[in-house]
Amino acid sequence: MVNEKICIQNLSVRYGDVNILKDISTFFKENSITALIGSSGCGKSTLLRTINRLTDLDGNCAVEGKILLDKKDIFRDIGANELRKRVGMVFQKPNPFDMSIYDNIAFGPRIHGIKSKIDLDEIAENTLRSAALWDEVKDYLKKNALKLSGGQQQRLCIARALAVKPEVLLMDEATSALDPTSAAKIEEVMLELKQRCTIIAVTHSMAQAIRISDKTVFLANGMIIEEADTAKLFTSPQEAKTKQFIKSALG
Amino acid sequence: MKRYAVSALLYLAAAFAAAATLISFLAIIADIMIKGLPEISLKLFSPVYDGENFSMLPACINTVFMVAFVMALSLPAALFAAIYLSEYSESETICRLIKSAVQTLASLPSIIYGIFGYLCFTVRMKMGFSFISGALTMSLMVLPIMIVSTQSALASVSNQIREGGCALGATKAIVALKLLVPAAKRGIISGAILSAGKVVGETAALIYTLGSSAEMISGLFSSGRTIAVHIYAMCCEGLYVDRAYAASAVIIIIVVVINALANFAALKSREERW
Amino acid sequence: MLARDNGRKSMKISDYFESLPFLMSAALAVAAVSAICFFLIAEGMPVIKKIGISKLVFSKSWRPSEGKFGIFSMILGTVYVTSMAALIAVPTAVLTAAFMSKLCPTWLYKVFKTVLSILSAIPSVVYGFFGLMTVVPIVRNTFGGDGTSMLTASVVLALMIFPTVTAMAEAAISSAAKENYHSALALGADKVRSLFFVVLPAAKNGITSAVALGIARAVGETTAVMMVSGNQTAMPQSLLKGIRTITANIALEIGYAADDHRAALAASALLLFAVVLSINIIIGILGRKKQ
Repeated sequence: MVNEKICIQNLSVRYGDVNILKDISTFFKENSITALIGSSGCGKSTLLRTINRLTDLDGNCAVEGKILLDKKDIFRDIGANELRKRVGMVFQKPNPFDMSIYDNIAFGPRIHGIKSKIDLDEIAENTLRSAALWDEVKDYLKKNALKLSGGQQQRLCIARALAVKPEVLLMDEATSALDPTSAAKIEEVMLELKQRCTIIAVTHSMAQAIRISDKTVFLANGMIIEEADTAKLFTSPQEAKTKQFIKSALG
Repeated sequence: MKRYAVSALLYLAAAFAAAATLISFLAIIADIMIKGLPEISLKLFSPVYDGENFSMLPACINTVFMVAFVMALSLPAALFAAIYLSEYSESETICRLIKSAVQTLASLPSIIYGIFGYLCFTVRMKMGFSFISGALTMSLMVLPIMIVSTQSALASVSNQIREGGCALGATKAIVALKLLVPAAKRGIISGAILSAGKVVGETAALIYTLGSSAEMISGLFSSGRTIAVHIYAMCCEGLYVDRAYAASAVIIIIVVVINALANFAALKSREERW
Repeated sequence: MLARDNGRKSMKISDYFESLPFLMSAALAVAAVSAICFFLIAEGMPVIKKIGISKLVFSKSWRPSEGKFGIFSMILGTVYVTSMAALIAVPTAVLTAAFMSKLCPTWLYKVFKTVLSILSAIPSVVYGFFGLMTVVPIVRNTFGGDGTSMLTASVVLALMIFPTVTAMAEAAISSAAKENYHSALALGADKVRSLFFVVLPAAKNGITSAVALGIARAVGETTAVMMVSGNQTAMPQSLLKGIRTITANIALEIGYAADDHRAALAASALLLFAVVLSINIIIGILGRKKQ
C-alpha cells in the first residue's frame, strides 16, 4: 500500500484575478524526494507555499480544493501553526534571523515548548550534524548567524527547519543562490534526510532533479503536464511539452 | 548670456538663503551660550530649591521622571497598536478608521491635550496639579506619534523574516514580538526619542496638569516642574533672566550631547554589520 | 466555498484571542480621539447653547467679564501670524534645502544637517525666550512700542518652523533628485537648472508635506507666541501692534476661568480640533483621489 504523505486534490489557487494553479491533483509518497520542475511563473513555488499554508499570509489569495496530510485536510482539520510545525520550509534566499546560530536553531523548539538547555543543546547538535554544518560551527554557536557565508547560512536554515522535527520538508530552489560546492553539500543532506522526511523540492536544475529525486512533476501554466519516476520522465517523456522543456534545458 | 544669468541668479538666491539661515541660527545658539554659560554655577544644581539659588536640579530630575513614566505608559501601548495595524488587521475599514484616528491625534496642537488634561484629569477627576495628571496627558499626546513611527518601522522589515518565522509554526504574536520588533529596533527607538523630545519641550500643557511647583516630585500626586516649565517660570513669571539663560544653555548642551550620541550610535551599528 | 474561508472559520476563535491585546491597544487610539472630542463638546456646550456658534466664532469682542465671547480676533491673529511666518520661512527653507541637496560641498552639508537637527530638538520655550530677549528689543528699537507685536511673533514662529520644513524638504528633494538629476544633466542642463527646473517640481509632493507640517506646527504653537506677541485681545490692527492667537488665549486664561468663560475656551479648543480634523480628512480624500 503506497503511503501517500501528502495528497493534492483539485487544487486551484488565485491571486486576485489571476489563476496561478488550475485544478491540480497529485500525491507525494512518504520518505521520497519529489522534484517540481517547470519554467518561471508556472506555479511551482505557489504550490509549495500552499502546502504549508504560507498563502494565508497573502491578502488577496484564494484557494479552492483540498490538500491532505496523512489523510487530514490541512485547511479544515489542522491548525495553520500546527501544520507548519509538521511541514517545514527552506527558502530560496537564506533568511537566518539576526541572532546567534544557537538561537536560530532553538527558536522553533522554544516556541513549541522546549525550554531545557540540555534538550536544546542536543537538538542543536543533531540538526547541525544533519545539515552538515556542525564541524564548521561547533565552536562558534554564539556567533551571529548573519556573519556566516551564503552556503553556511542556507545549511543553518535547513538545520533550523529540522529542529522542529518536521515530517515534510519543502525546499523552494534551496540551492539556486549557492555556489556549486555548497549546493552539492546540501544535496547530500537531502539524500540523507529522505529516510526521515518527505521532501518536495522546487528546482531549476534538471541535473539536480536527476541526481536526487525519486519522482519528478513537470508543471506549465499552472497545470501538471506530466509526472513520473524521475528516470522514466527524463529518458522517455510522454508529452510534447515535456519533451520540449527537457530538450531546451539540457540541450 | 541670459541662460547663465538665470542660473547664476538662482544659485545666488539659494546660497544667500542658506547662508542667512546658517548664520542666524548659529547666532541664536551663540547668543544663548554666551549669555548662559557664565551663569551656570554649582549653586544651580543644588538639590534643594530655595528662593536664593533657583536650583534647576529638581526640574531636571522631574523631567527625567516624567519622560521615563510617559515612555513606560505609551511605548507598550503604541507597540501593540502598531503590531495590530501592521500584522493583524484584516478588515480594511477598521484599519482605516484606526489610522485616521491616529493621524488626527498626531496633528493636534499640544494645547488641546493641555486643556483636555486640565479639564478632565486636574479638575473633573480631581487629580489637581499632579505628576499623574501631567503624565497621563503627555502619554496621550505622545501615543499617536509613537504608533505612527513604530508602525512604519515594522512595515519596513523584510517579509523574509515574517515568512521564516511563520514557516516554523510561530504565531503572528511571536513573529511580531520576537522577530519583527528586534528587527525594527532602530525606527522604534528614533520614534521614542522624538516623543521624549516633545515631552521635554512641552510647556503650556504641563503647567496646567503637572503644575509648576519648584520642588522635586515626591509621589504620583505631587506637583513639580519640568525644565521647560522652569525656564518659562524664570523668565516670564519671575523675570530672573540670567537663570533662564543658564537653563537654556544647559538644555542646548543636553540637546547637542544627545544628538552626538545618536549619530555615534548610528555609525557604530553600521560598522557592526561586517 | 473557498477552502481558505473555511479554514479561517475554524481558526477564528483562537486567532481572535491571540489578537485581542493588540486590538485593544489599537482601539485605545480611537477611544482617545473620541474621548477628547466628546469631552470638549460637553465642556463647551453650555456657552454654545447660550450664545450660539456663529456669535462665538464671528463676534469681534472677547470680554469674559462682560459675558462677551467672540474669538474672531483670535482667529485672525492665528491666521495672520501663521501666514507671515510661512511667508518668511517657506521660501527660505526650500531654497536652503535645494542648496543643501545639490549645490553645497559635503562638509558644509554635514554642518547644515547637524545644525538643523540640533535646532529641531530645542524646546519652543527656548525659542520664545530668545525672541523675548533679542528679537523684541530689536523691534522695539527700530519701530517703537514695547517690541511685542505680530511682526515679532511671526519672526519667532518662522525661526521655529524653519528647521523642520528644511529637513523634510531636503529629504524630499534628495530622493527626487536620485532619478531626475542625472537625466537632466545628461541632457545638457547645468547643475542649477537641473535642480530648479527638474528636481524641484518632481519633489513637489514631499515639499508640500513639509510645508503643511510646518504650518501645522505654527498653528499649534502656544508658548513661544505667547511670550512675544503682546496678547492684546483687540482685532489685529497692524504689523506692529500686538495680537493674540487662539492657542495663546486658551493657555493664558484657562487657569482662572470658570463657568461660561471656561466653556468658551473649551469651545475654541473644539474649533481648533474641528479645523485639524477637516484638514486631515481633506488630505485623506486628496490622497485617495490621486490613486
